[in-house]
Amino acid sequence: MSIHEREYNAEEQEIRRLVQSIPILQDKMIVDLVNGIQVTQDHIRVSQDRITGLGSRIVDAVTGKSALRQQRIDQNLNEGLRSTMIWLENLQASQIQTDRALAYVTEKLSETRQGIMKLVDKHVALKNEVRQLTEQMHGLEEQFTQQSEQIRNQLTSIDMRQSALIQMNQEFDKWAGGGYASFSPLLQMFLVLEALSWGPFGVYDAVNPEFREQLNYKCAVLLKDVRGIPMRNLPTDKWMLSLVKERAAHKEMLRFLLQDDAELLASLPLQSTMLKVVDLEEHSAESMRSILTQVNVPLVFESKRLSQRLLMESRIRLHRRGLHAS
Amino acid sequence: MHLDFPVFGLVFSGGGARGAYEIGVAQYLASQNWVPSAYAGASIGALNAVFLAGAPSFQEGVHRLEEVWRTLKIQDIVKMNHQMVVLGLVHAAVKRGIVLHPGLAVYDEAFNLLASKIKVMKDVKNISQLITEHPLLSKLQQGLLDNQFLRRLLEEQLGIHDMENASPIWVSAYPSKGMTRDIVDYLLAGSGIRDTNESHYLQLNEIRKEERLSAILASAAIPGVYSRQTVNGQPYVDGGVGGAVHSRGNTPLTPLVLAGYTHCVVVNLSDGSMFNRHEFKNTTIIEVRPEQTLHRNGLLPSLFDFRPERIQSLISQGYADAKRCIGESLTALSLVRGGRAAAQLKEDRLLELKNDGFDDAMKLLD
Repeated sequence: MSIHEREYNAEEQEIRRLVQSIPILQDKMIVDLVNGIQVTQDHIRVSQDRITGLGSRIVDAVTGKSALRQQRIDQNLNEGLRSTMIWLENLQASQIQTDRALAYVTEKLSETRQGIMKLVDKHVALKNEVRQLTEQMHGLEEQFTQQSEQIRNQLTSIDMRQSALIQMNQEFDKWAGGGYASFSPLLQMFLVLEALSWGPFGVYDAVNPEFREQLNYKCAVLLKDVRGIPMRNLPTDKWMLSLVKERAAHKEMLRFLLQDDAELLASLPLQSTMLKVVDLEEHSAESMRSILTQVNVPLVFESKRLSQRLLMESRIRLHRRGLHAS
Repeated sequence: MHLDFPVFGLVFSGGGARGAYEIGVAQYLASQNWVPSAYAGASIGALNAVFLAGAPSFQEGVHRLEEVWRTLKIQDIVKMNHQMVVLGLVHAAVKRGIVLHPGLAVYDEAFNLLASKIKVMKDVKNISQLITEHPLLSKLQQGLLDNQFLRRLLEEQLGIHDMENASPIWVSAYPSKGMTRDIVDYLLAGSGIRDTNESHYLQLNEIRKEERLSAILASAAIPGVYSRQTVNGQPYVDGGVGGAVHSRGNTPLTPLVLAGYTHCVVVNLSDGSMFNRHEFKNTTIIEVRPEQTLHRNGLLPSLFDFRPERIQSLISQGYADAKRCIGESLTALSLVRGGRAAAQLKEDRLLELKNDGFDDAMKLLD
């Protein structure tokens, strides 16, 4: 406890002792004071009336009434003054208590104001922290969204890549295992490439062509190893003419796959040539050469290059039909 | 009921015709709905108090009392001054002496002969008649002779047969030692030589029915003018004779104080009454005293001035003085009570402020 607080408590005790020592203001004292004034007024009025006559003065003096009346007045005044003193003491005590209560309340108000100021400071600091946290949260949210998107894209990409790889292996296994054996060897490659373009491989290849080179090599290797078709110097007319010998149903299928409007076919020289060859009625080298002279198609292909061309034209066709987004 | 004066006794002093003043005081109390719990009265005050205590309600009692006073019929008095009243009193005393000594009747006949010839003597006779035939008492005295009137007055107006259920009421009566001794004692007290003995305070509710009227009459029986009345074998005269120097008998507060009433309203019926409130240390007393004189034509004439206009004037004066004296005292009490209540409220709120846990809550901010 500080010296100041000790002094304050000592003062408080002294005031309390003083207040407790004051007589209690009884109702009787209040009435004796207020009503006593009216009683005194009555006596004073009578005294004034009696004092004007010599006879009444003598009678009152002889009978002692004037002295008795004066005694009543004095007693009332004395009691009234005593009541006034006690009333004043009580009022003073009450004022002291009220003033001290006011001081206490003022002190509390001051503390409350200080507390509110402190609270405002804390609030402002907290508000800033909240704002910073909000900004950080927004940054983190954005970062998380980006990372989430990135991860989702990565997962999608991995999934697509995996699907593409699986489809490529499945198609080549099917090809190698004789799944397309009823077709001519080069039509088999065309059909494998067509299936891959339409499937997950084509979707992934539009985004990432990483397996395209591998595909072309795999086509070349399979043609050579399984079908005995050389990797180099593959005459265009020779493998094209084999289409003429395909069964009618196969030709119909090929037409269904390749048939398109003229403008599109103009940008797909190899496939438009294949359409024309399919429509030939007989296996004629002359007719074949005639067709080849009309289109811009190399006369000799490497098997790898051929697969590249077929795949590329297949992709263009699908894109034109709005099936793949490159 | 007033918060600061919840239970109080009402004291009516004696003062003859000035008793109308007490109607005004009662009217003021009734207007504020402040109903006395007990009564004490001397002489005319005793009569007034009996009317109020025996009524079904205070308001009804005030109304009846006013009606009785307003119906008093008196002779038109030509000269109502001090000398004439003294002569009237002497005449009344002589007439009373004739009753005791019939041989003196010849003097009365001579006086009557003079009164028929001389106007002053006629006035003295009229005043004497008024004194001996106190209008209010005469109603009761007539009742003694007229069974029908008495029954109506006692049962319907005074309710004197049903005092067991009435508010407690005391009347003061002075134990008589004989007419001459009573008068001498009173004169000695008036001269400041020796005070009279204390009056007796008879509680009407507790004395026998057949003696109640005697007690009331005794309280107003001016020695030498009215006959003594006997109650419980004790002869009594006007209660105002007792403790005359300090008006203790004429303003009988003592029985109420002894009965435990700590708050009382005391109505004085004379200018500068010597009633001393400071004799009652533990009783809160509001005295109703006149602001203007009650003895406009002298003390003695005012005792017998029952003219209607004077009665009306006294009623109004009583009402105004009650309003002033009682009103100002109760206003002061109400103010102090209000201050105390406010101070208590302040203390309670401070205590709440000290214990509201605000300081501890503020520490959490550190």
